[in-house]
Amino acid sequence: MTNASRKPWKKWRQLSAMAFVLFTGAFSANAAEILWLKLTPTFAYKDISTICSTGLAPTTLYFGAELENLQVNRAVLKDNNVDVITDKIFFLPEELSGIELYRDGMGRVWLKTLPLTARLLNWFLFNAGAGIPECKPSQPLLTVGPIPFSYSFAVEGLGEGGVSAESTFGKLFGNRKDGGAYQAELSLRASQYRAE
Amino acid sequence: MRNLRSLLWIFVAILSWEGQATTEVLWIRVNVNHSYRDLSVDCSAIQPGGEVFFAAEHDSGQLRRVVFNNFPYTDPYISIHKSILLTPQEVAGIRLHRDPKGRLWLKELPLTERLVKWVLYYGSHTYSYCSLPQWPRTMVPTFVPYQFDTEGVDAGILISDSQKVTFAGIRDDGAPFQATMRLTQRQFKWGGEND
Repeated sequence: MTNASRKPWKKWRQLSAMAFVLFTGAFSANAAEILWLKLTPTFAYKDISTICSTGLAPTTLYFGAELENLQVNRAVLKDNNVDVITDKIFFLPEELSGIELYRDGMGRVWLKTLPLTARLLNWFLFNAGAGIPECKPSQPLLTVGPIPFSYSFAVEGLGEGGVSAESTFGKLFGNRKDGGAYQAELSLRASQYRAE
Repeated sequence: MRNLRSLLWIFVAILSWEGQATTEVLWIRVNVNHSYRDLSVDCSAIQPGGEVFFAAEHDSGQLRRVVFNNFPYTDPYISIHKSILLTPQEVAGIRLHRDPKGRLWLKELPLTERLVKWVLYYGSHTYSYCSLPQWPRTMVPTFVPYQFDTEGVDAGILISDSQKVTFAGIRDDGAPFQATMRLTQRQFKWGGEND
């Protein structure tokens, strides 16, 4: 075989290699990033039949998201088990728009702003007290307020090795399905989660 | 025209204020300091006494619904959770007191016969060593206007006592009994609330 006959093949190999590098580079630049955060709620609930708080037995909930360039494409809230199918709620597309993320100096991604609609707040109220079996609304809730409601997380300083970010403190209220009044308090502590 | 516009603004302001008014939930721990005797038992639970819980929905201190509970939560594992809903007539006689820190306390708590029976029976069952052995069929007096001393709570004291009342009655099996009952109230700390 002459050199001349080998050249086109060599060129093809070089082109293929370049295309592969370009393709993978482009792919990795747009690859979706998966984020899981642990959300530890401090939760208290009361109506005229139940009064409780989770101060002594905190629950862990999880926020999961698919990201691209710190934009959330899909998000989910899960109860106290990430690795098995349990109680979870997916954000609707319109519920994603207000979510703000923050990347700290170590490259970790955190929640900065988490706006919650009534149905997401409702999910929190029924799952935040899972660490204590009885700490949840005694009936389905008819109204949850105030709406709109948004949690802001203190993410400043996380680049210096912070391990968790505290949210603002939410005072919630409304009516149960039977018309009775209830009050609840909920704040969230976010920390990084990675399966072992 | 200007008057009409002013009236319209007042109407809108009233409507928006009404929309912002929030019904709150109040819980107060009520210690039941009691003594009881019949031919089968003679006991007293003055220190620390039994316990029931006064729970209410209110709008700025104006009571809407009131319940007594024997436990603070409806634990699925506790099958003896009991509660009694007060009638509007029973609620109407209750007076609250707001202390300088804004906390609400019971000032006057008139108890009808069915409420006296309920509070004494379930309050006594928190501590088994001085429980009523049977449901009281009758009790006199049949109406007790409990009044709480709230001067202390204004000065920062964390409890408030009622007067002690002496009862006589008949158990469900017809046997007579005697009892005394004094109530002591404390705030129920919850969530981010402080002293």
